[in-house]
Amino acid sequence: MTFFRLSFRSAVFYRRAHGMVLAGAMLAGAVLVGAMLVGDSVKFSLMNSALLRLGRIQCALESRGRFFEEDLAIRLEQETGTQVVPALLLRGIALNQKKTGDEPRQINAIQIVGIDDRFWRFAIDQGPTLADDGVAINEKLAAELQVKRGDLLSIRFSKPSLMSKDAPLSSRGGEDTLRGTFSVTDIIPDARLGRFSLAANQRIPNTAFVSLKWLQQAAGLTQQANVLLAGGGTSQSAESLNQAIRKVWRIEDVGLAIKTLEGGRLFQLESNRIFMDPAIGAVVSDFEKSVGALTYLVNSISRVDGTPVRETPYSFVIALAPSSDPALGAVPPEMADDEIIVNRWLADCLAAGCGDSIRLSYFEFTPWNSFVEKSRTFKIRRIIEMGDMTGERERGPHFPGLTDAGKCAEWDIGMPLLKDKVGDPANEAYWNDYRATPKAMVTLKAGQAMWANHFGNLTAIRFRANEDGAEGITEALRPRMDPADFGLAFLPTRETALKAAGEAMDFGQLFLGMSLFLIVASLMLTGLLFAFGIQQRSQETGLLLAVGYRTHQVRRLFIHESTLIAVAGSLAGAWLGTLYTRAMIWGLQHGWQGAVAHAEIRYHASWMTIGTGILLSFVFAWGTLILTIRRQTGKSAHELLSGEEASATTQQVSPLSWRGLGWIPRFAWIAGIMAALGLIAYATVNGMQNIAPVFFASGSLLLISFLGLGRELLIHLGRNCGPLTILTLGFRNAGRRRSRSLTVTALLACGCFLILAVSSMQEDIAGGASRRDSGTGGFALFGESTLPIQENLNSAEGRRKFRLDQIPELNSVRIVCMKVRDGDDASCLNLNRAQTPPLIGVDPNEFEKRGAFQPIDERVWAPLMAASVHGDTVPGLVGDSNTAQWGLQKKVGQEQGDTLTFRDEWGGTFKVKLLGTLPMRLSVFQGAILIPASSFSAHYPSENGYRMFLIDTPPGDERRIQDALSLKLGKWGVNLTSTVERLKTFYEVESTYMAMFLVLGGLGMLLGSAGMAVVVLRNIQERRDELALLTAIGYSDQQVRRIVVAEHGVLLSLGLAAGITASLAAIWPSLQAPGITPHWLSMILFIGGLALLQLLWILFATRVALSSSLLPSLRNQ
Amino acid sequence: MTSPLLELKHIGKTYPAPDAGGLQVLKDITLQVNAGETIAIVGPSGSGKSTLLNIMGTLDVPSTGSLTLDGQSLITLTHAEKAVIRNEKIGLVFQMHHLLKQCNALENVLVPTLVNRHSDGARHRARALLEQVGLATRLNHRPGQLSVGEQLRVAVARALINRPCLLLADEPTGSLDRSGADRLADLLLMMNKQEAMTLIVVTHSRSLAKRMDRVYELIDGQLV
Repeated sequence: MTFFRLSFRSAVFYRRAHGMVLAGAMLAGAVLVGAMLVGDSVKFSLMNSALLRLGRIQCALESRGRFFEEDLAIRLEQETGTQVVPALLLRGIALNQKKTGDEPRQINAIQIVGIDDRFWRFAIDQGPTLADDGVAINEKLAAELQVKRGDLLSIRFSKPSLMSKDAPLSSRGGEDTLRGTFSVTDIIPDARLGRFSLAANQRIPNTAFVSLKWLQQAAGLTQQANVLLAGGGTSQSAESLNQAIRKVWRIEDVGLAIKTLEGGRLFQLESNRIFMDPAIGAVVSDFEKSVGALTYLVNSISRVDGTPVRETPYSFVIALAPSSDPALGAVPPEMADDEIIVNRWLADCLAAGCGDSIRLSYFEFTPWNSFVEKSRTFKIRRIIEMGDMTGERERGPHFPGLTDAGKCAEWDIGMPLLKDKVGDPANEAYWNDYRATPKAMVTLKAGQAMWANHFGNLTAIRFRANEDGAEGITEALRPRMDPADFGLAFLPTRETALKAAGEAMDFGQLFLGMSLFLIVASLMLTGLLFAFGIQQRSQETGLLLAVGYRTHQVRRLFIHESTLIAVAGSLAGAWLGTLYTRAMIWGLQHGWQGAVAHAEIRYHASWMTIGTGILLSFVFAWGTLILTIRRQTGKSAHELLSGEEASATTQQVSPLSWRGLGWIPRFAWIAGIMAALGLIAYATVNGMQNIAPVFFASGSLLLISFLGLGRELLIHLGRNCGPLTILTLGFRNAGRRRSRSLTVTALLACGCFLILAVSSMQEDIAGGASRRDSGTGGFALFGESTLPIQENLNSAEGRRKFRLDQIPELNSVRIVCMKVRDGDDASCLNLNRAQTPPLIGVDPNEFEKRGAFQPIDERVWAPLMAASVHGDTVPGLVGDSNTAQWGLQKKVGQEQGDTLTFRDEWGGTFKVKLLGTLPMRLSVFQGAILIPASSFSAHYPSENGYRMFLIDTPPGDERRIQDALSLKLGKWGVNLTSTVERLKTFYEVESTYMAMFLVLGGLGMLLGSAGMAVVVLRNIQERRDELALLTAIGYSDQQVRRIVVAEHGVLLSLGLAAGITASLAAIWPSLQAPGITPHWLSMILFIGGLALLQLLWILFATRVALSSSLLPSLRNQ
Repeated sequence: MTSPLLELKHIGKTYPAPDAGGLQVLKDITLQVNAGETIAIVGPSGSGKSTLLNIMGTLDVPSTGSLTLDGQSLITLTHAEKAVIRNEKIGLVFQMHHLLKQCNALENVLVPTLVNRHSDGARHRARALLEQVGLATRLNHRPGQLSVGEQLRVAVARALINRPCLLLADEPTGSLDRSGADRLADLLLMMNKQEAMTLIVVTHSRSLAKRMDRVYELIDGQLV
């Protein structure tokens, strides 16, 4: 016989008792491993999703809003040997063309991808060759549109424009949208790039693949693309691809061209975007024999001191950099910024001569894309004869809708024109004779001060001819320019996607947190059962001590047994854990889809996670058993052999009590309660927004203090609880096994606290939604459009264009329009960690004047009033506090706020400092960053029009207005939803988490309440002879039961009281927040149900334990 | 002629055993005990003394025969009715005395009175009984603070609290030394006189048995 053999035999002999302990350890292990594997599965699914959407694509160049020559792909391929494929990516709307009667189905916000056969290089096999009348759609779009191969499908998209439609002189005429009808030739499965998307989001986009050539022609972008995809077998890093771009790019790739003028004496650099990026001006500033030019249409030119007033409306004026070379321009170096050169026609028209003052009235284009009329006075320096102006006519930029119009009355530009003035006969005559020949010239400095805007500050750069001609200028320009400044830069898309998935929300931790109570309950049960097992063997332990074993040797025997149990429990638990994971995944695919934003989650287990789980569950189980052993084996041989244990009322008298300092613990518990109440009062009075720390601090303090007081109460009950009655006899028993009693009480209190607190946090999203300081901002409707809407929908012109003026109900509707730069959704609906969240350009004044999203007496929008902070850094507000805390995991604030880096339209970077957050947990802006519209336009001038809307409606009319607006704006793919519904969509994630927690916590409570049953059984078993005596001396069975129930009822009441009081006190500050309306009835039902369940366990255990007669236990003695 | 307080007629007790007949512990025992009598039942270990005492105290049921107390048959009573009988008419003293550890001496004595909600009178009587058994100064002591003899005396006082007409004591002196045993015997007999109750003692102690009115020996399941 060896020590281990003795332990092994004991383990086998007490296998039935150990079986229960093993079950407890297994359960804890299963929940632990299972929760960790849920994390594995979610991460694996996200990685899988990322790989599916990218196929073999490694890097991507996406120049949203800008277009480049598609043959750049071929040059890059030749340079790098990497597969580089061009594509044209646009947003659009898909419409199912039903053959008969059915309602057509419209799906907004689809991505239209213009591709050719090269695209399929990145898929596992070759996809369809797309004809001009064919479309291949992904499975998701096919399902949503309910179309199959051969069906007809319409696609509508916004007509791209090289010049931003927001630009001051851009054309607003013609059709904004284009439409094509196709036959569905193929439905692309997920595995064959059907999920193709460059956004780090697990949500599958609706995608239509069309012929690149067709899309280019339809969009008027022949040979142009806005996406390059690189990858395949010999892929290179984004950095090496970008270096290759610098080698092979041409200025034509970014819409620049050198125009030869005046028979080769002059060259002019022009952009197909009309306004040239500021970077170009900076590059050529050190070029010799070059001047920058900025041409603008002023509202009027009038003579200041003339009587009567003479003026001419709508005239082109050119601003030129001064040059001593007349070939470059007529503005000499000595010309002052307040001087102007006019042509003869203008001088005659105004009857002005040199030295006279004239005033230019013009529209200044504001950062909010609106026009403000301003004027500036100049002194006439020189008058140029019309014959000398022919060169300028040739050099003028081509403004679509303006310079190609037959007469002034046909001008069609974004700038507001007064009808009576635009048709001025003299001006018409000038237009007829001289077209866009500028009527006046000012210095470039003066011109830029008046007309520079976020689209650029030049319309042309003139170069004096040299020996190398246009090519020489191009070659001189190219090395000085960085193609990245024009958006030609690859990003490591795959690496970013995998990083986003890798940094996604850790569902393993989430489930561990949610299952923690279940794990603790299992471990507690394990400990209790093991303790009972040891107690049952107290005589055996006593005997071992009596025959000379030392305490640590006895402990070692038990430790051997417990190790066997813990090993077996953790191994079996790991296997059970895989089943638990599958069950959780089933839950995530069915009732709890909201938690994973309806993403498809597949089971995946890594050996590393399983191994870690086994190790952790072994440590927890073993630790629990070791603690139990230490507590249970500290008794003397005499105590154990005689079966006598000192009464709890006399045992474990604390050293403090001996010294007459027994009041100290009581004082400490009461001080704890006071501190917690103080914290709660502070949070309530100050209306703290982030009450989570207060909740946990005060809740924990209250729970611990209440349980401490409960312990004191049990001690008191054990000693004296008033006159002896059947009930008080039971109460006294409750104080005998304090540790056991407190374990059950604490578990009950904690469970009750957590579940009550969580269920009380259920938010009534609709409640208070009409308040301006709520997450809806008091707006009734939220809208997003697929295609940008150029006009302000509040303006008369906008309403007329969209025919909103035809519906009287819409007269009282006010709409706040916002600009959107797409990014990685940082809301709770995106499981991936957002790398670059969407930016929303807002006019903070619109919200501030309404008091929207801000509590009274607070100026939430103030940080956005400034266009920048600390130099070029843009001020930003996070959409809501949940986005800051969870989606972005960033700090906000004037000082400590984090800074995010974004890539602007030119490929450069700029910083957004998170100065604050909208002060609510959930808002309609969740997942996005709000920046001033001025900063937005400055960095993304090509993001023309508005794509996001918040709509104020008269109360009660929401539905009708939603229907009316949807009808009128449907062509632009506007999705309107009630703001409450939008919040509910976000809240679904949170509420699902809570539901999951309640289910898992409920299971923990169930297990914990089973612990109560075990304790009852054990207590009765332990005191069977005592109860038998009561029976012997005449107590009826009912009276004995009453004593047992009273004893355990005390524990139940204590646990419930501690849990309920602590949770209600801790949630008090959050109850003050708008929209928080706890479901009192369900909480009362929960407490009632819990109390009833516990009572049933007690009654059940009492009945089982007392089902056989107690008397034989007396007789046996 | 007055009827006996306790009457056992043809009491037999057989426990199930692997062999077909079972284990017959008591055989056809007939006994009449009058009020105020003191009786000792002696016999070797395993002879069935405690079984017989348990049957008298309604803690066990005979396999055969009848049992009456104060003219009332105890065999046909329900558990609840037996509990009432035990509470009101029978006092039991166990060798292991079974005091409630959470109660002091006075409270332990009062425990039987809780069944019918004790009155102030019960408290006075409990004090008086404890004084009678020599524990006037130990009223508030808990079992752990009392000696074995003192615990036994508390158990006797508890047995007498409801003025039973029959006191059954199972090996009451088994755990005491000689002087302690003598003092306990004095006590039991004094109570027998003072309370006019019938005393039946199961014991190995010949000296205790000699002090009883009648002594029976249980041999082969039969009283001799």
